[in-house]
Amino acid sequence: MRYKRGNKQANLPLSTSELIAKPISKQLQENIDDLHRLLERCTDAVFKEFTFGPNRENKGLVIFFDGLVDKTQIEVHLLKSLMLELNMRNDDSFPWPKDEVFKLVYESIVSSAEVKTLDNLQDLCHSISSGDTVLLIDGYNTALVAGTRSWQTRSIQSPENEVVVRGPREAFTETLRFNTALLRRRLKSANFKIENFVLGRITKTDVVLCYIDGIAAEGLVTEVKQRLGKIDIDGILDTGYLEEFLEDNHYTIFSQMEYTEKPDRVCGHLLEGQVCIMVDGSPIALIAPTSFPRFWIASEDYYERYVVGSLFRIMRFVAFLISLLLPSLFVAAITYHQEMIPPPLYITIAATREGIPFPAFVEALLLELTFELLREAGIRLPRAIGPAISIVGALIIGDAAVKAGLVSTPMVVVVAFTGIASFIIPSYNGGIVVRIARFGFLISAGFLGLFGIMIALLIMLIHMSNLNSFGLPYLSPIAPFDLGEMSDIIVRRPWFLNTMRPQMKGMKNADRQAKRNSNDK
Amino acid sequence: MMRINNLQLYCLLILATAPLSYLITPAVITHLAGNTNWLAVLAALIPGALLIYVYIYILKKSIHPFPAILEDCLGKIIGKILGFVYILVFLMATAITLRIFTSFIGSSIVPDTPLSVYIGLMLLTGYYALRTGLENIARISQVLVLIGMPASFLILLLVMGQHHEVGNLLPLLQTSFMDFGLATYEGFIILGNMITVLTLAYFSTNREKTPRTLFNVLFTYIALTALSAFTITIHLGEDFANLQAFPTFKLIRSITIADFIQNIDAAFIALWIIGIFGAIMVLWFMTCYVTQHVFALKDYRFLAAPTSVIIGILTLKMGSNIEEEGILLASIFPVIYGIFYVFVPLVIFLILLFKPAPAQGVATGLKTPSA
Repeated sequence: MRYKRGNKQANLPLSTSELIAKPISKQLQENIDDLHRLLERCTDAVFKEFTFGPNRENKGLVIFFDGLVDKTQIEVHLLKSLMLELNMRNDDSFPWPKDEVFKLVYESIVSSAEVKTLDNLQDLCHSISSGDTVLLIDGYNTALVAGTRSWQTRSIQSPENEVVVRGPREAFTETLRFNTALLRRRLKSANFKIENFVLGRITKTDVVLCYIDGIAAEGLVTEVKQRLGKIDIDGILDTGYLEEFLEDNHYTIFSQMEYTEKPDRVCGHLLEGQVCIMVDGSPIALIAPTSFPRFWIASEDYYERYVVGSLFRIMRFVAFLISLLLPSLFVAAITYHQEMIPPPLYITIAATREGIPFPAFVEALLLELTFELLREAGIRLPRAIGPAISIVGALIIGDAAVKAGLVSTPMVVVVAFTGIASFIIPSYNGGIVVRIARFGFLISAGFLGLFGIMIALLIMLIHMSNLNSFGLPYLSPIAPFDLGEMSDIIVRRPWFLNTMRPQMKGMKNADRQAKRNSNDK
Repeated sequence: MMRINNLQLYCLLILATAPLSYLITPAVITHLAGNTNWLAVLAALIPGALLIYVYIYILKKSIHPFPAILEDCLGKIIGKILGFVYILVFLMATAITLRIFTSFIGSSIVPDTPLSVYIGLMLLTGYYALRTGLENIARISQVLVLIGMPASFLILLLVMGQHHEVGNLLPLLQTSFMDFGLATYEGFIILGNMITVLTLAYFSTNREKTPRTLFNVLFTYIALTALSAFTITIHLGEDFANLQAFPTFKLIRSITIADFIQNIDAAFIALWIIGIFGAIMVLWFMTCYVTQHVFALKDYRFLAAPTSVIIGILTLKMGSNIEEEGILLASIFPVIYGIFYVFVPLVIFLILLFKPAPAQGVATGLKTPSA
């Protein structure tokens, strides 16, 4: 009975998962059957069977996905070489090695720049899904892969979210190889390493880890690799997926990795010993480790003269405080601590608030919510009308609300000023944190005034100082305090004094530039 | 192993000593020494330095942190009992610090809110900090001191820029020696909170520099307290200052900048909230750490929850009004501090004088263990 059942099972066709794990067969027809089964209902899969060699006695198959390849390359480097040029050389001066056809094709006939071999169907499917073309030859259980990737892509454009006045204007695109090329163009060193990972059971997304060997700490690189290796998910569609897997603390609003769409910014970070992670299909690069004070830094700071860069940084720090605390301080002052406000100013505020039906706290909360809604709507709306709608919306709603006596003018000014200040924070994820935290502060101020704000600040401080980004304390170099590094956080240290990289645990080479001779000018 | 650097150690010790003295000590000292209050604080430099010497000697001769030192010197039973008493002392110190603060907030800032709300919120925040461990507490303390210390001095300088009467300083030394001595003692005794160094030094990454850190704390404390006392005298005058429960607060209320910015006492309160929070955090850590050692527990962090309840109740029950709290602070706590922060360490110091030094290569409070 058992024997019978076993026999019956042996005759059953293999399931897709079993089939894909199969090695490539020496019989071309068997491979074709397997691939047809694997790729059934994949209408973009192209199978091109052909014969080549003397008397056309060798059979071959070229397989690729339409739309992912450059067909000209397939025609010129594969099909033309095999089907035409080879047949034209059918004479005695070119002996046909019947037993080593594959070797001959691999070494002498296929003229693609990027050629490799593989021996199982899983790799084969991954290769053609990535835009490569696979050549199978009858009688050989090895496939030849030619790099023919080419698809419609967005060209390299200027960054949308990190606009600069001075400095490079290139931004990453959705094509990973373009992005790595943008980095390689700037870091012309053999020490610049790009390690590849394939993540996502279904998406098989290419993920790269970039770092500069000799600068980045070995421990950091190993740790990132380990964390990447632990990810087992069906799909990775953006760096955002990875961020949540890689970060140290998941239950926080604070982003523990920086992200950017600017290659020059990535290079700057790599030169400081950090690592960068990029995902195929995403124009955003993740940078690790990072700390919260670094969210105030814009790449432009380093392109401007240090005095200007420093002033911008100080302004950004002030903007950060305004963005975080201004509405809550205003609510606390007019609700609980009126004596703090100079009498003439308080009289003006009180006069405008006369007849307002809401307490200051509710008024601020409503206005903040409206502002956030308008901002979000402005982003999601079609680009042609988005800014217009948000500006018109802000003007009309703000004006109407004041005229209707729902909100007071000073509150509108405070919320608008806060909104403007929040746009000064160069990092989007840093800005989001401030936007969220602002509501917490507002609620604390509404209930307990200045005491509430201080308690909220303390809770935020405790939480932040407890965070780490790949071992780097999240508040460094403020806590633990490092005066040397602080001089390049609050202000921008001049390049001629920027002799050391930011200190990171395990960093191999902290020297940034040669020591200057005191006589040098 | 938890690790803190010497700057963090400095910040922790500053938080244990300076915030309370900034508000309370000048008032108490002015009451005793009148216009020579600032001299009394400066005189506290001498006993302060001697106390630091005692602590340094204990650290030099001890291979275990406080409270294990007690068992090493006094025997297991007495050491354990004394350790238990220290738990109560630290609990009380935390509670009185919190009580004074909440009374001040409740009476001067937002009088309609029940004290329990302030106490509850401070304890909740402190609990959160304590749960994250000493390393994080040290990082927090750094931020608090980095903000608080310059701001405290700035406020005092702003006050000095206001109308003042230098003649208030004269005549000098009209106070009796008794009062001057008592004022000096009041100025000095808060430094007893530096006893925490007997524990914290063992977590330092560079124990050899602990003495320098201690003296830095002493000088900062003296500078801050003496300057507050001095400013109170020249700005408010002895008589008016003696009428105030919190003369430092009155000082800050008088700041006016460009006839527009005024009544910035709220800024002072903000500063004081973070300072007192820091002080509570350090003292509460000591409570939990000593409890862990006395009862041979594996960790101290879980003790944050039960001790928070005890501290909360103690804070509510300690002194029914600000007058009683004043008596507690001016009369009772100086005695308790004197016994447990000065006398007991002095006894240990004397015992250690006759004990052989630890063997070469053994890590002590002033010798970092080799990696």
